[in-house]
Amino acid sequence: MTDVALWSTAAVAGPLLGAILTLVRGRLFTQLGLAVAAASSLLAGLGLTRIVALEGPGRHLLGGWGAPLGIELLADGLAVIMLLTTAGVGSAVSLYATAYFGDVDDPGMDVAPGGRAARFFTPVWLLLWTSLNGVFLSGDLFNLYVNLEILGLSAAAVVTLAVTAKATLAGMRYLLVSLVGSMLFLLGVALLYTAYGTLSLEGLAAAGPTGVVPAVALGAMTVGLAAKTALFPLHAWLPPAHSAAPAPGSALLSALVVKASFYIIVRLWLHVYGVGLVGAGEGALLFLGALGAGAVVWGSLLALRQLSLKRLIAYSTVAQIGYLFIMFPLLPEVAGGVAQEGEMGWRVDAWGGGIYHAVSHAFAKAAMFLAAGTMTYAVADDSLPSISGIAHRLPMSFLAFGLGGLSLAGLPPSGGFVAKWLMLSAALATDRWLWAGIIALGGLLTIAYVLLVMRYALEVRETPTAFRSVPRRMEWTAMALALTAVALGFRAVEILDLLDVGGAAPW
Amino acid sequence: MSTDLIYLVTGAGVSMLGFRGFVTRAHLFWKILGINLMGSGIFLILIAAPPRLPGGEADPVPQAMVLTGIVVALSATALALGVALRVAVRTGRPYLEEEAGDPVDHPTAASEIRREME
Amino acid sequence: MSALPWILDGVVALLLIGLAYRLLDTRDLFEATVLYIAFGLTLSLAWVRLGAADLALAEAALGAGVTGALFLNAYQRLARRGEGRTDEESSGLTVVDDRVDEVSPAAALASYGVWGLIAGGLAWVLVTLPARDPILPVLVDAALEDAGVSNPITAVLLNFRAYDTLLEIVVLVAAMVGVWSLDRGSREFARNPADLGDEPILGALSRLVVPLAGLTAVYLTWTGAYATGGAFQAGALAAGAGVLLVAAGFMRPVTSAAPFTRALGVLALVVFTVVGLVSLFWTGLFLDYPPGAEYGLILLVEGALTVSIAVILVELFVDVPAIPEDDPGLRVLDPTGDPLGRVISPDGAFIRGAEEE
Repeated sequence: MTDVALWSTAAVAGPLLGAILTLVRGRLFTQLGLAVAAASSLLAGLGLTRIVALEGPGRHLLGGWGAPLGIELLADGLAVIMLLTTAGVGSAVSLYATAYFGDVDDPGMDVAPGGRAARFFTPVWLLLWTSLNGVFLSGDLFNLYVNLEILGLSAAAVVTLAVTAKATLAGMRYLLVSLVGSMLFLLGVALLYTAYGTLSLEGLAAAGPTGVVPAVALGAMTVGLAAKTALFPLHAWLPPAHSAAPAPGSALLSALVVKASFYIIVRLWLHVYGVGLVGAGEGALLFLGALGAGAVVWGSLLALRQLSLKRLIAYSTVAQIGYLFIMFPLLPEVAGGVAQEGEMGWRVDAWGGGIYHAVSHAFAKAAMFLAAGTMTYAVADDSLPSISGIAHRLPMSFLAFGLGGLSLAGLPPSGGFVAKWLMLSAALATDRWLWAGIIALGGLLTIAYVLLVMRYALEVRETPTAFRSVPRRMEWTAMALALTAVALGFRAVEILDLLDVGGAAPW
Repeated sequence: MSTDLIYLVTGAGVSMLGFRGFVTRAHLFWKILGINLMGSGIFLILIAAPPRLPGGEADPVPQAMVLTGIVVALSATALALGVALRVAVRTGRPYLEEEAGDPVDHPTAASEIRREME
Repeated sequence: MSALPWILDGVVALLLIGLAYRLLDTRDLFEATVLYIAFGLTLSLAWVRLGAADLALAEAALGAGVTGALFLNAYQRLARRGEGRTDEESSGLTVVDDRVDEVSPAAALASYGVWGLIAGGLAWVLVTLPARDPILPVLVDAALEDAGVSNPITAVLLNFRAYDTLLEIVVLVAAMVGVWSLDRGSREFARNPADLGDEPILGALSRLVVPLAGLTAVYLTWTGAYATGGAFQAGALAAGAGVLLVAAGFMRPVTSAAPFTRALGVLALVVFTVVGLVSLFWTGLFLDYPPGAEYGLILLVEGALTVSIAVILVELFVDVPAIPEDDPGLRVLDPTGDPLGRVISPDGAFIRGAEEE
């Protein structure tokens, strides 16, 4: 048994076994299941990272058949970075959730407020975790489809754990969008299988998909995945869904779930179709970038106009997703030239910037949603005025929110700063002033809406009419995530080097 | 070959009819029916489009994929119908209501609270 | 070559298109549901014509059968919601779509025309695609000897691409957990058990059909190794028997509250994952069955799959959220801003839970 086989199995089977444990004996095994999932995910992420860093990309031939007959799990730099991000964010959110949902071991659970949500959050989230890890490691198109369906069903179930009419409608809309997105993806799979007779991503990349059928397939899959990623203008489902879900769910959805479908878009565009895109596909890359720019501007402006805290953060997610797509037209292959050293010794690297943004946004946004969840937990209301003065009551959550916002806005020192700096310098190095302007504008708007929340939170007012004391665990888990988002600003070189294993280059 | 051709065209037609139904109908049950038909159409394409074996048998791999797809579609339908029924309970109607005040929530409440705070 | 197959295919194809059109066009939910079941049965004819007998069986059992039953079940609950209500918004309106905009025939034609063009374009690019040689079927054929089973589809499902099938069960479990998490007090079955004494025919039918269905399910599971059949079709059949038993009052509805139900529901996941892990430590690769043990392990997994699928399908059927009494506080408005519907009192305690009985 190779280490790749062991750790890639652990990444998928660990959360799955955790889910099984919590399903069989809910009360007893909830925390055990979470521990199994978190431990195996963290170990798998670290183990695979070590292998990838030392020996290069690894593969696991499931069933011993190998592609194209069987399914392969592939671990390269990008995959392990996403695995580690998921493990980090997921573990912190799991800890937070055990406090947020109350004591699951409480025998009165069945009648306790929110008892059903508390009981089912863990199994739903662990199934979600299974599919996230499954997506990041999968080397097979149809396997990606099955993973996407687990992801879609369990993510919608996370939203409908909240019982209100708003949440039910939001969950319904999310589920429908997600299912149609999967169908469009499956249509693409059918077209590609018809054309090339293989489902393996590497096999397709080797075949170099060009022509009408692969183009239609890519179009269908991209539309489906963009809808799942909530890329502007297909974003309308996201703010209600992400704001209505219970706080730990909001954090997971915004930080991780939208990244999974983005990850598949990246794999398809850069790794599977990579070669064919440099010429004819340039316009398509520009189009994706334009949608991203629209998302940055529109999402930020709407975030500024929200009066509910979680909704503001959800609109911020719409905006930040835009940055992920601004990456595409700035890629070195398109901009003419490979990653290069900039004047100040910085890499000029839109690819690194885009992925760095995905990672740092995951930590920052999870921290902000958890901190916001702590505040709304305390006052049982998530309108902005109701949290006025909360900074004096919950200083640590307030600080976590602020640090997350710092990274989100791209202020130094933070992971967000590295990401935006890389993208900005990539735009400037090729004289793309418009893109640079949008990247900068988005940063300014981010500062504005983070400050808006802080203004409310800092207000000196009479104490709120009702204030519930908050478990400490909910405060420091958000803080840990926020600090990680900031710390990412200090470890850029190592992470970018890891990303280079497998890299943006086509297989 | 001609059988494949007929069902290939049928599959394309059914999948797009399903997609159209999903887009145009407001009632949740028809949206779910639309998604199911879209899936069935794609399954037809998946079996009818790839080349057959020399003996004329259908490719077993897409068959396995469609078998998986049928079970997945069934699971999705079960959950979607469950959520749709809860929508009917919570809002009184089985429709995807447009959110009031979207994209800015509660604009009137907003201005009022602002005024109060100033 | 005779023209008969052509005519048959043409009729099936036209039926499929016509049924799909009609069921998406009607405003009557009952009609749409019945047409959907008819569509599924017609589709299984199409599978037979395409030489995919396994799919025909699965489509009839799962696509038309179980999915159709789920729709009917949900329809019934929605219809009953309309019944007892006097306010204007009910009176059965929920099962008649009253939100279809009247459009002129020209506009309707234009809409169908556009979608038709898309469909036509899709078919056109596929038809004009240069032919290629079959690739995977050749590999499947070559590897079949080492697969442990001789039915190539079962070999793909449970050996070559067994990982997909493992995740497929995860999808099923995810749907089940999702349905469980939806609502409380929803375990009311469509039939009131008290009325069951008045149904002698149902009882007699169950005594006859259920043992047969059970036997057939076992047979299908076993035969899947070398001929048409398999765990999914068998599970659907067993689920049908289970639903009949519940409906006839011979069996209490399984619910998530019973640990036994939950254990049976995840049995396939446990067995499949354990088999995968044992192979991992035995041969070094996940789901790489030890040589010689393939047939036994596949049969073990198939058996567990049949049981779990049957239990989950019955559960999905029985556990579709019923329409409980309204909690006015949870209707339309989000009363609290707290996502779990909690309201807190001035002293900080929650005073009204979302799920208070």
